[in-house]
Amino acid sequence: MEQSADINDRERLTRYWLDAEPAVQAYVFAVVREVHDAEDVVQQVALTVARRFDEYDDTRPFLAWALWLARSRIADHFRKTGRDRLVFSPTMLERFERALSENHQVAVRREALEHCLGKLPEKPRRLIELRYENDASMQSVADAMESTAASVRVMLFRVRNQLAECVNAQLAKEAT
Amino acid sequence: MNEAERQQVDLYLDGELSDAESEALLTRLEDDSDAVAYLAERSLLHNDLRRSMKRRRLQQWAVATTADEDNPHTRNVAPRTHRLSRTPLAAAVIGLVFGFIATSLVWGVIIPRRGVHVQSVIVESFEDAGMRLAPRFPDVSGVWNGTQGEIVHVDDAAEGRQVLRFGPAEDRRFSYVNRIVDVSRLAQPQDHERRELRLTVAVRPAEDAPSARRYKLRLAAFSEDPAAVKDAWFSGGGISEKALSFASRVRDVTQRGWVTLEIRLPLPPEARNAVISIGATAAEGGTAAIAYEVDDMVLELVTMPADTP
Repeated sequence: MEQSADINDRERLTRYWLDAEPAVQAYVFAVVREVHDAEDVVQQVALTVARRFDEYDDTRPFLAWALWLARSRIADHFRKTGRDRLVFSPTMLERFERALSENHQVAVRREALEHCLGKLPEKPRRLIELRYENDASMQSVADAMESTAASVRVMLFRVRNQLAECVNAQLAKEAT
Repeated sequence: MNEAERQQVDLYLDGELSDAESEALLTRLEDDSDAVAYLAERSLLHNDLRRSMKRRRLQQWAVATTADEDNPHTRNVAPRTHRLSRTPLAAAVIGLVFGFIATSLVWGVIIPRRGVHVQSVIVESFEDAGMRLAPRFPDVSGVWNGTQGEIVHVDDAAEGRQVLRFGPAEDRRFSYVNRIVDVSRLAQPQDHERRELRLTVAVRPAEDAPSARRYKLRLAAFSEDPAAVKDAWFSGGGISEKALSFASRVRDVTQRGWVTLEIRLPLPPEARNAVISIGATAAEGGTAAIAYEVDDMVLELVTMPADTP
Protein backbone atom coordinates (compact mmCIF):
# COMPACT_ATOMS: atom_id res chain seq x y z
CA MET A 1 0.00 0.00 0.00
CA GLU A 2 2.84 2.34 0.93
CA GLN A 3 4.51 1.63 -2.39
CA SER A 4 1.30 2.47 -4.25
CA ALA A 5 1.01 5.78 -2.36
CA ASP A 6 4.59 6.59 -3.40
CA ILE A 7 3.76 5.92 -7.04
CA ASN A 8 0.67 8.12 -6.81
CA ASP A 9 2.73 10.91 -5.26
CA ARG A 10 5.34 10.62 -7.98
CA GLU A 11 2.69 10.74 -10.70
CA ARG A 12 1.10 13.77 -9.09
CA LEU A 13 4.46 15.50 -8.75
CA THR A 14 5.30 14.80 -12.40
CA ARG A 15 1.93 16.05 -13.59
CA TYR A 16 2.07 19.23 -11.49
CA TRP A 17 5.67 19.96 -12.38
CA LEU A 18 5.19 19.51 -16.13
CA ASP A 19 2.36 22.01 -15.88
CA ALA A 20 4.28 24.51 -13.75
CA GLU A 21 7.76 24.19 -15.22
CA PRO A 22 7.38 26.65 -18.14
CA ALA A 23 6.21 29.42 -15.81
CA VAL A 24 8.95 28.61 -13.28
CA GLN A 25 11.49 28.72 -16.12
CA ALA A 26 10.11 32.01 -17.38
CA TYR A 27 10.36 33.39 -13.85
CA VAL A 28 13.93 32.23 -13.25
CA PHE A 29 15.16 33.28 -16.71
CA ALA A 30 13.65 36.73 -16.22
CA VAL A 31 15.40 37.25 -12.88
CA VAL A 32 18.67 35.35 -13.43
CA ARG A 33 19.56 36.49 -16.90
CA GLU A 34 22.67 34.42 -17.61
CA VAL A 35 21.44 31.30 -19.44
CA HIS A 36 23.68 28.73 -17.74
CA ASP A 37 23.04 30.15 -14.29
CA ALA A 38 19.31 30.24 -14.93
CA GLU A 39 19.33 26.61 -16.04
CA ASP A 40 21.22 25.64 -12.87
CA VAL A 41 18.69 27.49 -10.74
CA VAL A 42 15.73 25.82 -12.48
CA GLN A 43 17.39 22.48 -11.85
CA GLN A 44 17.77 23.37 -8.16
CA VAL A 45 14.10 24.37 -8.02
CA ALA A 46 13.08 21.03 -9.60
CA LEU A 47 15.14 19.13 -7.02
CA THR A 48 13.72 21.19 -4.15
CA VAL A 49 10.17 20.67 -5.40
CA ALA A 50 10.78 16.90 -5.57
CA ARG A 51 12.46 16.77 -2.12
CA ARG A 52 9.81 18.85 -0.37
CA PHE A 53 6.73 17.64 -2.23
CA ASP A 54 5.31 16.07 0.93
CA GLU A 55 5.06 19.60 2.39
CA TYR A 56 2.90 20.80 -0.48
CA ASP A 57 -0.66 21.63 0.55
CA ASP A 58 -2.95 20.29 -2.17
CA THR A 59 -5.57 22.96 -1.51
CA ARG A 60 -3.22 25.71 -2.71
CA PRO A 61 -2.10 26.29 -6.32
CA PHE A 62 1.02 24.27 -7.09
CA LEU A 63 2.53 26.96 -9.28
CA ALA A 64 2.43 29.54 -6.48
CA TRP A 65 4.21 27.06 -4.20
CA ALA A 66 6.83 26.25 -6.86
CA LEU A 67 7.42 29.96 -7.50
CA TRP A 68 7.81 30.52 -3.77
CA LEU A 69 10.50 27.82 -3.67
CA ALA A 70 12.07 29.29 -6.81
CA ARG A 71 12.38 32.63 -5.09
CA SER A 72 14.52 31.06 -2.35
CA ARG A 73 16.73 29.26 -4.87
CA ILE A 74 17.21 32.52 -6.78
CA ALA A 75 18.20 34.27 -3.56
CA ASP A 76 20.68 31.42 -2.85
CA HIS A 77 22.12 31.86 -6.31
CA PHE A 78 22.68 35.60 -5.86
CA ARG A 79 24.22 35.01 -2.43
CA LYS A 80 26.61 32.42 -3.87
CA THR A 81 27.62 34.56 -6.81
CA GLY A 82 28.31 37.52 -4.54
CA ARG A 83 25.54 39.76 -5.81
CA ASP A 84 24.42 41.89 -2.90
CA ARG A 85 20.84 42.24 -4.04
CA LEU A 86 18.24 41.15 -6.53
CA VAL A 87 17.39 43.40 -9.43
CA PHE A 88 13.75 42.55 -8.74
CA SER A 89 12.44 44.14 -5.55
CA PRO A 90 10.25 41.95 -3.28
CA THR A 91 7.15 43.86 -4.44
CA MET A 92 8.10 43.36 -8.06
CA LEU A 93 8.66 39.64 -7.45
CA GLU A 94 5.23 39.27 -5.87
CA ARG A 95 3.51 41.07 -8.72
CA PHE A 96 5.49 39.12 -11.27
CA GLU A 97 4.59 35.80 -9.60
CA ARG A 98 0.94 36.78 -9.53
CA ALA A 99 0.95 37.74 -13.21
CA LEU A 100 2.64 34.45 -14.16
CA SER A 101 0.15 32.44 -12.10
CA GLU A 102 -2.74 34.10 -13.91
CA ASN A 103 -1.36 33.52 -17.40
CA HIS A 104 0.48 30.26 -17.54
CA GLN A 105 -2.15 27.88 -19.15
CA VAL A 106 0.66 25.69 -20.48
CA ALA A 107 -0.98 23.24 -22.86
CA VAL A 108 -3.28 25.62 -24.71
CA ARG A 109 -0.60 28.26 -24.97
CA ARG A 110 1.88 25.79 -26.41
CA GLU A 111 -0.61 24.60 -29.01
CA ALA A 112 -1.49 28.18 -29.91
CA LEU A 113 2.18 29.09 -30.28
CA GLU A 114 2.89 26.11 -32.52
CA HIS A 115 -0.07 27.10 -34.69
CA CYS A 116 1.18 30.70 -34.90
CA LEU A 117 4.78 29.67 -35.62
CA GLY A 118 3.45 27.57 -38.48
CA LYS A 119 1.86 30.66 -40.00
CA LEU A 120 5.04 32.75 -39.96
CA PRO A 121 6.70 33.50 -43.30
CA GLU A 122 10.12 31.95 -43.84
CA LYS A 123 12.33 34.90 -42.87
CA PRO A 124 10.77 35.67 -39.47
CA ARG A 125 10.60 31.97 -38.68
CA ARG A 126 14.30 31.61 -39.48
CA LEU A 127 15.00 34.57 -37.22
CA ILE A 128 13.19 32.93 -34.30
CA GLU A 129 14.97 29.62 -34.93
CA LEU A 130 18.37 31.28 -35.00
CA ARG A 131 17.69 33.25 -31.83
CA TYR A 132 16.24 30.46 -29.69
CA GLU A 133 17.61 27.15 -30.89
CA ASN A 134 21.04 28.01 -29.55
CA ASP A 135 20.24 31.03 -27.39
CA ALA A 136 22.34 32.94 -29.89
CA SER A 137 23.42 36.55 -29.43
CA MET A 138 21.93 39.29 -31.60
CA GLN A 139 25.25 39.64 -33.39
CA SER A 140 25.38 35.92 -34.24
CA VAL A 141 21.81 36.07 -35.53
CA ALA A 142 22.66 39.20 -37.52
CA ASP A 143 25.70 37.51 -39.05
CA ALA A 144 23.63 34.49 -40.04
CA MET A 145 20.90 36.72 -41.52
CA GLU A 146 23.46 39.01 -43.23
CA SER A 147 21.93 41.92 -41.38
CA THR A 148 22.86 44.25 -38.52
CA ALA A 149 22.27 43.57 -34.83
CA ALA A 150 20.13 46.72 -34.67
CA SER A 151 17.84 45.45 -37.43
CA VAL A 152 17.66 42.02 -35.82
CA ARG A 153 16.56 43.54 -32.50
CA VAL A 154 13.79 45.46 -34.20
CA MET A 155 12.73 42.53 -36.38
CA LEU A 156 12.62 40.20 -33.38
CA PHE A 157 10.54 42.70 -31.43
CA ARG A 158 8.04 42.84 -34.29
CA VAL A 159 7.91 39.08 -34.85
CA ARG A 160 7.32 38.51 -31.13
CA ASN A 161 4.52 41.08 -31.21
CA GLN A 162 3.00 39.28 -34.16
CA LEU A 163 3.26 35.94 -32.35
CA ALA A 164 1.86 37.36 -29.11
CA GLU A 165 -1.14 38.80 -30.95
CA CYS A 166 -1.71 35.53 -32.78
CA VAL A 167 -1.42 33.46 -29.57
CA ASN A 168 -3.86 35.75 -27.75
CA ALA A 169 -6.31 35.51 -30.63
CA GLN A 170 -6.03 31.71 -30.54
CA LEU A 171 -6.55 31.64 -26.77
CA ALA A 172 -9.59 33.91 -27.10
CA LYS A 173 -10.97 31.56 -29.76
CA GLU A 174 -10.39 28.57 -27.44
CA ALA A 175 -12.20 30.35 -24.63
CA THR A 176 -15.40 30.93 -26.63
CA MET B 1 4.03 51.65 -21.49
CA ASN B 2 5.32 53.11 -24.69
CA GLU B 3 6.85 51.28 -27.64
CA ALA B 4 10.43 52.00 -26.57
CA GLU B 5 9.77 50.59 -23.08
CA ARG B 6 8.17 47.49 -24.55
CA GLN B 7 11.20 46.99 -26.75
CA GLN B 8 13.43 47.45 -23.73
CA VAL B 9 11.58 44.62 -21.98
CA ASP B 10 12.60 42.36 -24.87
CA LEU B 11 16.20 43.55 -24.67
CA TYR B 12 16.13 42.89 -20.92
CA LEU B 13 14.84 39.35 -21.48
CA ASP B 14 17.39 38.87 -24.26
CA GLY B 15 20.12 39.74 -21.74
CA GLU B 16 21.13 42.80 -23.73
CA LEU B 17 20.77 45.40 -20.97
CA SER B 18 23.45 46.17 -18.39
CA ASP B 19 22.67 45.82 -14.67
CA ALA B 20 22.19 49.59 -14.39
CA GLU B 21 19.84 49.67 -17.38
CA SER B 22 17.93 46.65 -16.10
CA GLU B 23 17.53 48.23 -12.69
CA ALA B 24 16.35 51.50 -14.24
CA LEU B 25 13.81 49.63 -16.39
CA LEU B 26 12.47 47.48 -13.54
CA THR B 27 12.20 50.50 -11.24
CA ARG B 28 10.10 52.22 -13.90
CA LEU B 29 7.88 49.14 -14.32
CA GLU B 30 7.49 48.29 -10.64
CA ASP B 31 4.57 50.56 -9.81
CA ASP B 32 2.67 49.84 -12.99
CA SER B 33 0.79 46.55 -12.65
CA ASP B 34 0.01 46.48 -16.39
CA ALA B 35 3.72 46.81 -17.12
CA VAL B 36 4.55 43.94 -14.74
CA ALA B 37 1.85 41.85 -16.42
CA TYR B 38 3.45 42.68 -19.79
CA LEU B 39 6.87 41.62 -18.49
CA ALA B 40 5.38 38.34 -17.23
CA GLU B 41 3.56 37.71 -20.49
CA ARG B 42 6.67 38.50 -22.50
CA SER B 43 8.91 36.29 -20.35
CA LEU B 44 6.45 33.43 -20.91
CA LEU B 45 6.60 34.06 -24.66
CA HIS B 46 10.42 34.09 -24.66
CA ASN B 47 10.48 30.90 -22.66
CA ASP B 48 7.82 29.20 -24.79
CA LEU B 49 9.81 30.07 -27.91
CA ARG B 50 13.02 28.75 -26.37
CA ARG B 51 11.28 25.49 -25.44
CA SER B 52 9.54 25.17 -28.78
CA MET B 53 12.73 25.68 -30.79
CA LYS B 54 14.64 23.22 -28.64
CA ARG B 55 11.84 20.68 -28.95
CA ARG B 56 12.02 21.06 -32.72
CA ARG B 57 15.77 20.63 -32.68
CA LEU B 58 15.34 17.52 -30.60
CA GLN B 59 12.83 16.16 -33.08
CA GLN B 60 15.07 17.01 -36.04
CA TRP B 61 17.97 15.33 -34.31
CA ALA B 62 15.84 12.25 -33.74
CA VAL B 63 14.68 12.19 -37.36
CA ALA B 64 18.23 12.68 -38.63
CA THR B 65 19.57 9.95 -36.37
CA THR B 66 16.80 7.59 -37.45
CA ALA B 67 17.59 8.36 -41.08
CA ASP B 68 21.27 7.74 -40.39
CA GLU B 69 20.31 4.40 -38.94
CA ASP B 70 19.11 3.30 -42.36
CA ASN B 71 22.29 4.54 -43.96
CA PRO B 72 24.80 1.66 -44.34
CA HIS B 73 27.64 4.09 -43.69
CA THR B 74 26.42 4.77 -40.17
CA ARG B 75 25.61 1.23 -39.11
CA ASN B 76 28.48 1.17 -36.66
CA VAL B 77 26.69 3.59 -34.30
CA ALA B 78 26.28 2.07 -30.83
CA PRO B 79 23.06 0.02 -30.51
CA ARG B 80 21.94 1.99 -27.44
CA THR B 81 21.88 5.19 -29.46
CA HIS B 82 19.78 3.46 -32.12
CA ARG B 83 17.24 2.30 -29.62
CA LEU B 84 16.85 5.77 -28.09
CA SER B 85 16.39 7.52 -31.39
CA ARG B 86 13.95 5.07 -32.98
CA THR B 87 11.14 7.61 -33.22
CA PRO B 88 10.98 11.37 -32.88
CA LEU B 89 8.13 11.01 -30.38
CA ALA B 90 10.15 8.75 -28.15
CA ALA B 91 13.03 11.17 -28.31
CA ALA B 92 10.73 14.05 -27.45
CA VAL B 93 9.36 12.15 -24.45
CA ILE B 94 12.89 11.37 -23.32
CA GLY B 95 13.65 15.05 -23.68
CA LEU B 96 10.67 15.96 -21.51
CA VAL B 97 11.55 13.47 -18.81
CA PHE B 98 15.15 14.56 -18.90
CA GLY B 99 13.92 18.12 -18.77
CA PHE B 100 12.04 17.33 -15.60
CA ILE B 101 15.20 16.18 -13.91
CA ALA B 102 17.82 18.37 -15.44
CA THR B 103 15.68 21.05 -17.06
CA SER B 104 17.33 22.32 -20.17
CA LEU B 105 20.86 22.23 -18.84
CA VAL B 106 21.95 19.89 -21.62
CA TRP B 107 20.95 22.40 -24.28
CA GLY B 108 22.83 25.33 -22.85
CA VAL B 109 24.90 27.26 -25.31
CA ILE B 110 27.18 30.09 -24.31
CA ILE B 111 26.00 33.58 -25.10
CA PRO B 112 29.08 35.61 -25.94
CA ARG B 113 29.71 38.19 -23.25
CA ARG B 114 31.25 41.13 -24.95
CA GLY B 115 30.21 43.70 -22.35
CA VAL B 116 28.25 45.61 -24.99
CA HIS B 117 24.76 46.73 -23.97
CA VAL B 118 22.16 48.19 -26.26
CA GLN B 119 19.14 50.22 -25.26
CA SER B 120 16.48 51.45 -27.68
CA VAL B 121 15.93 55.16 -27.47
CA ILE B 122 13.55 55.66 -30.39
CA VAL B 123 11.79 53.16 -32.65
CA GLU B 124 9.86 55.18 -35.20
CA SER B 125 7.90 54.04 -38.23
CA PHE B 126 5.57 57.05 -38.36
CA GLU B 127 2.42 55.00 -37.84
CA ASP B 128 0.75 57.63 -35.65
CA ALA B 129 -1.59 59.39 -38.08
CA GLY B 130 -1.95 62.29 -35.63
CA MET B 131 1.80 62.87 -35.36
CA ARG B 132 2.61 66.57 -35.12
CA LEU B 133 5.42 67.88 -37.32
CA ALA B 134 7.08 71.14 -36.34
CA PRO B 135 6.93 73.78 -39.09
CA ARG B 136 10.64 74.58 -38.67
CA PHE B 137 13.70 73.06 -36.99
CA PRO B 138 12.34 72.02 -33.57
CA ASP B 139 13.11 73.97 -30.42
CA VAL B 140 11.76 71.19 -28.21
CA SER B 141 12.75 67.55 -28.01
CA GLY B 142 10.58 64.72 -29.31
CA VAL B 143 9.07 66.26 -32.47
CA TRP B 144 10.06 65.93 -36.09
CA ASN B 145 10.24 68.66 -38.66
CA GLY B 146 10.90 68.27 -42.36
CA THR B 147 11.20 70.44 -45.44
CA GLN B 148 7.50 70.46 -46.38
CA GLY B 149 7.25 67.36 -44.22
CA GLU B 150 4.09 65.27 -43.99
CA ILE B 151 3.09 61.79 -42.84
CA VAL B 152 1.72 59.86 -45.82
CA HIS B 153 0.25 56.43 -46.41
CA VAL B 154 2.13 54.26 -48.92
CA ASP B 155 1.65 50.65 -50.00
CA ASP B 156 5.29 49.74 -49.75
CA ALA B 157 6.56 51.39 -46.58
CA ALA B 158 9.80 50.02 -45.17
CA GLU B 159 7.77 49.26 -42.02
CA GLY B 160 4.04 49.55 -41.41
CA ARG B 161 1.90 51.65 -43.73
CA GLN B 162 3.08 55.22 -43.28
CA VAL B 163 6.27 57.17 -43.92
CA LEU B 164 7.54 60.68 -43.31
CA ARG B 165 7.81 62.41 -46.70
CA PHE B 166 9.94 65.56 -47.00
CA GLY B 167 10.96 67.97 -49.76
CA PRO B 168 11.27 69.06 -52.48
CA ALA B 169 13.39 72.16 -51.92
CA GLU B 170 14.33 73.46 -55.35
CA ASP B 171 16.15 76.48 -53.96
CA ARG B 172 18.46 74.46 -51.72
CA ARG B 173 21.03 71.72 -51.99
CA PHE B 174 19.43 69.43 -49.43
CA SER B 175 15.96 68.73 -48.03
CA TYR B 176 16.07 67.77 -44.37
CA VAL B 177 14.14 66.07 -41.61
CA ASN B 178 15.33 66.81 -38.08
CA ARG B 179 14.57 65.90 -34.50
CA ILE B 180 16.01 66.80 -31.11
CA VAL B 181 16.24 63.86 -28.69
CA ASP B 182 16.47 64.24 -24.91
CA VAL B 183 19.41 62.04 -23.88
CA SER B 184 19.77 63.41 -20.35
CA ARG B 185 18.03 60.44 -18.74
CA LEU B 186 19.85 57.69 -20.58
CA ALA B 187 22.00 55.36 -18.51
CA GLN B 188 25.41 56.86 -17.79
CA PRO B 189 28.55 54.84 -18.52
CA GLN B 190 30.28 53.23 -15.58
CA ASP B 191 34.02 53.38 -15.04
CA HIS B 192 35.93 52.04 -18.06
CA GLU B 193 32.85 52.24 -20.29
CA ARG B 194 31.88 54.59 -23.09
CA ARG B 195 28.58 55.28 -24.82
CA GLU B 196 27.56 55.96 -28.38
CA LEU B 197 24.33 56.63 -30.21
CA ARG B 198 23.62 54.46 -33.24
CA LEU B 199 21.07 55.53 -35.81
CA THR B 200 19.70 53.32 -38.58
CA VAL B 201 17.09 54.63 -40.98
CA ALA B 202 15.47 53.60 -44.26
CA VAL B 203 15.32 56.30 -46.98
CA ARG B 204 14.25 56.49 -50.62
CA PRO B 205 13.20 59.04 -53.23
CA ALA B 206 9.40 59.44 -53.28
CA GLU B 207 9.34 59.50 -57.07
CA ASP B 208 10.73 56.79 -59.25
CA ALA B 209 13.80 58.83 -60.19
CA PRO B 210 16.51 57.04 -62.17
CA SER B 211 19.49 59.24 -61.26
CA ALA B 212 21.79 58.82 -58.26
CA ARG B 213 20.74 60.22 -54.90
CA ARG B 214 22.91 61.59 -52.15
CA TYR B 215 21.96 61.21 -48.50
CA LYS B 216 23.54 62.94 -45.54
CA LEU B 217 23.10 61.68 -41.99
CA ARG B 218 24.20 63.87 -39.10
CA LEU B 219 24.14 63.30 -35.36
CA ALA B 220 25.31 65.83 -32.80
CA ALA B 221 25.29 65.94 -29.00
CA PHE B 222 24.91 69.12 -26.98
CA SER B 223 24.95 70.03 -23.31
CA GLU B 224 22.44 72.88 -23.94
CA ASP B 225 18.64 72.80 -23.79
CA PRO B 226 16.69 72.37 -27.08
CA ALA B 227 16.14 76.09 -27.76
CA ALA B 228 19.87 76.77 -27.38
CA VAL B 229 20.63 73.72 -29.55
CA LYS B 230 18.53 75.24 -32.32
CA ASP B 231 20.42 78.54 -31.99
CA ALA B 232 23.75 76.73 -32.10
CA TRP B 233 22.67 74.69 -35.14
CA PHE B 234 21.93 77.82 -37.18
CA SER B 235 24.44 80.30 -35.77
CA GLY B 236 26.97 79.73 -38.55
CA GLY B 237 30.35 78.06 -38.43
CA GLY B 238 30.97 74.34 -38.09
CA ILE B 239 28.54 72.36 -35.94
CA SER B 240 31.46 70.21 -34.85
CA GLU B 241 32.95 73.26 -33.05
CA LYS B 242 29.75 73.96 -31.11
CA ALA B 243 28.63 70.43 -30.29
CA LEU B 244 30.08 68.12 -27.64
CA SER B 245 30.40 65.54 -30.39
CA PHE B 246 29.39 65.49 -34.04
CA ALA B 247 29.23 62.86 -36.78
CA SER B 248 28.31 63.27 -40.42
CA ARG B 249 28.08 60.69 -43.15
CA VAL B 250 27.31 61.16 -46.84
CA ARG B 251 26.31 58.26 -49.04
CA ASP B 252 25.53 58.15 -52.75
CA VAL B 253 22.92 55.58 -53.73
CA THR B 254 22.20 54.47 -57.26
CA GLN B 255 19.73 51.69 -56.54
CA ARG B 256 15.99 52.34 -56.43
CA GLY B 257 13.78 51.70 -53.46
CA TRP B 258 14.58 51.67 -49.75
CA VAL B 259 18.14 51.71 -48.51
CA THR B 260 19.17 51.55 -44.87
CA LEU B 261 21.78 54.00 -43.65
CA GLU B 262 23.66 53.92 -40.36
CA ILE B 263 25.69 56.42 -38.37
CA ARG B 264 27.26 56.40 -34.90
CA LEU B 265 28.09 59.20 -32.49
CA PRO B 266 30.17 59.12 -29.29
CA LEU B 267 27.87 60.32 -26.48
CA PRO B 268 29.74 62.19 -23.72
CA PRO B 269 28.37 61.92 -20.15
CA GLU B 270 27.45 65.63 -20.05
CA ALA B 271 25.24 65.42 -23.19
CA ARG B 272 21.65 66.52 -22.58
CA ASN B 273 20.26 66.66 -26.10
CA ALA B 274 21.14 65.11 -29.45
CA VAL B 275 20.14 66.19 -32.95
CA ILE B 276 19.17 63.74 -35.67
CA SER B 277 19.36 65.29 -39.13
CA ILE B 278 18.69 63.39 -42.36
CA GLY B 279 19.28 65.19 -45.64
CA ALA B 280 18.69 64.15 -49.25
CA THR B 281 19.53 65.62 -52.66
CA ALA B 282 20.51 64.68 -56.19
CA ALA B 283 24.14 63.57 -56.19
CA GLU B 284 26.95 65.97 -57.05
CA GLY B 285 25.86 69.56 -56.90
CA GLY B 286 22.18 69.21 -57.77
CA THR B 287 19.23 70.53 -55.82
CA ALA B 288 16.68 68.72 -53.68
CA ALA B 289 14.10 68.98 -56.42
CA ILE B 290 12.07 65.91 -55.56
CA ALA B 291 10.53 64.52 -52.39
CA TYR B 292 12.15 61.83 -50.26
CA GLU B 293 10.79 59.43 -47.69
CA VAL B 294 12.06 58.25 -44.31
CA ASP B 295 10.82 55.19 -42.42
CA ASP B 296 11.83 52.51 -39.93
CA MET B 297 14.16 54.69 -37.88
CA VAL B 298 15.87 53.24 -34.83
CA LEU B 299 18.07 55.17 -32.44
CA GLU B 300 19.95 53.09 -29.89
CA LEU B 301 22.29 53.78 -27.03
CA VAL B 302 25.25 51.42 -27.07
CA THR B 303 27.34 51.14 -23.91
CA MET B 304 30.61 49.26 -24.23
CA PRO B 305 34.03 48.85 -22.62
CA ALA B 306 36.10 51.97 -23.23
CA ASP B 307 38.74 50.02 -25.16
CA THR B 308 36.23 48.61 -27.67
CA PRO B 309 37.48 49.61 -31.14
